Amino acid sequence: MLVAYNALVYAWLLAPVLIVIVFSFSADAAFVFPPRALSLRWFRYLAGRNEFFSSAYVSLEVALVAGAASTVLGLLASLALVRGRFPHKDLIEGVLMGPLALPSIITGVALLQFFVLTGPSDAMGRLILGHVAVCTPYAIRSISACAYGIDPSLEEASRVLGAGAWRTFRRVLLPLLSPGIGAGFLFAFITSFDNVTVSLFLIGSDTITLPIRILTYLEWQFDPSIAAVSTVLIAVTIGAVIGAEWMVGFRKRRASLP
Amino acid sequence: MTAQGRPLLYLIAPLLAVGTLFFAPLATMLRYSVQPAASAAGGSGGLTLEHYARFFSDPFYLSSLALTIATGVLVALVAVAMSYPLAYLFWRSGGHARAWLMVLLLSPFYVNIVVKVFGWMVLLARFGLVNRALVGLGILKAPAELLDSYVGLLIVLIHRCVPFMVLVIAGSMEHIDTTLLESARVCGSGAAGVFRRVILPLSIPGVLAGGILAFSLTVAAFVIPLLVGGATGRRFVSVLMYQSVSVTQNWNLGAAMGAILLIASVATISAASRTLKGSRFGTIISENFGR
Repeated sequence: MLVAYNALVYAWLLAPVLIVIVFSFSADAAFVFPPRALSLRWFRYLAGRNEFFSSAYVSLEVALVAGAASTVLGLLASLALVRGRFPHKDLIEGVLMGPLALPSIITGVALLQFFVLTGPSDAMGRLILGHVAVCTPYAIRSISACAYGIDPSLEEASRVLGAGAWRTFRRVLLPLLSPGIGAGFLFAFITSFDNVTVSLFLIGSDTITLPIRILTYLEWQFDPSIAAVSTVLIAVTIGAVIGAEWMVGFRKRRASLP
Repeated sequence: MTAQGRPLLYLIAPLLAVGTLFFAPLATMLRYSVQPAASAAGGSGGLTLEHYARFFSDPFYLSSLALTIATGVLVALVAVAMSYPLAYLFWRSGGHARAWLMVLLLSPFYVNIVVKVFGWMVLLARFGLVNRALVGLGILKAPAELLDSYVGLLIVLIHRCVPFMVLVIAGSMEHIDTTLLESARVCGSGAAGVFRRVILPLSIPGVLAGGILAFSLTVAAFVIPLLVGGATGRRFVSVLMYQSVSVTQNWNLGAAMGAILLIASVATISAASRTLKGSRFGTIISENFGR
């Protein structure tokens, strides 16, 4: 009975996602289940809709720039947190992770009010900076998890053998850290690409991100074309997550070699 | 210039970023919430609690706050009851079964909230699967407006909380020493007795932390009440805050509502944080909480 109950609840957990994927391949114009025939008509329909393309482009641009900036900040913070010794380390780590602890709708409102007083007036700049705030903790997490696994004696050996600090970083630490950096970038990227509640307050009329485009569409109507966009969104996210896991796993496999 | 030597040098940029892009904006919001409405942004002038007073004296806002809080409590209770058996099976299973359950539990986290809500809109629509099933089973005579109903809102809110809750409760079960279960058996307890006397009491911290987390997630939920639950959903404090800031342009009142949500979030999260820190799944939970 326990197993049957579990199966039922897991089915319920996945139902809304699966139904979206099924309907994105439906040949019907209405949500008839099961679809009478399968087709790619809604994906073809999407291809002719400029607003979804321009939104996907905005999302991609924001996620790439904010993801890259977050990764650099995450790398710096991780090096200090993992290798450095200084007082109040826990407090500083807590401060850096702060944005993770709040529902991002609050961060979104606060950023809007802040940017109107000071900060960039163009929406693209606001979006990117806002996303950096919420994405950086993800980059710190991934990179510092990787850095904790690196034996400090490798760096010491490099220094003893006469390499300078920069050379040790570039030739020893950076290659060992690269899977963590890659995973950190991917997590920051999807966090930005997926964001709804911070973007909602920071978008301008020509910088509407893809999730916000879907959200505003859903407020008024819904048809299977939204299912098709959703499937694309799911594919991008799952691809990025698998990529990140693969990078981290790849490093583990390499590290376990004799 | 290594990280060991000068860690603070490495921390300048990250701290500056989180300071200007997170803490300074929160401070700005708090300042807006205590500024007189008339004074222009950034202008000087006395501090006032008029926006809070307005929120807490207007029956509309007060009942909206009560609705938000009551829904948070209701969602937490139902989600705990629903999730406990899932957490139990997850805890008892090992190897491949456990890995697969983990994938199933995590997969909803990686699907955009807008997409999940859209899926529910399709399922709960007037001629959607749920209505057809209910009519087909004879439970309903005619399709109901589930999508715009409070029940619909509850279903979607609970749906969002369950994976979190399962991980929190399973995390607290991980701390149960399995030798205790054996000793209880040896001392003559039946399976039901072991569950009631050992497992249940020892998993209470997880149940409490999970309940608090579900409450916190629900009270600050935005996309779900905006799109599901009709007029009732749109009375959630987060939705009212959004309308106040983006539609009616009453920034001070919006900031006050933001401050109320901020205080509620900080209070609930710090109440649950000790359990979460000790949990095996604490990282996963905190990484997906803010989304």
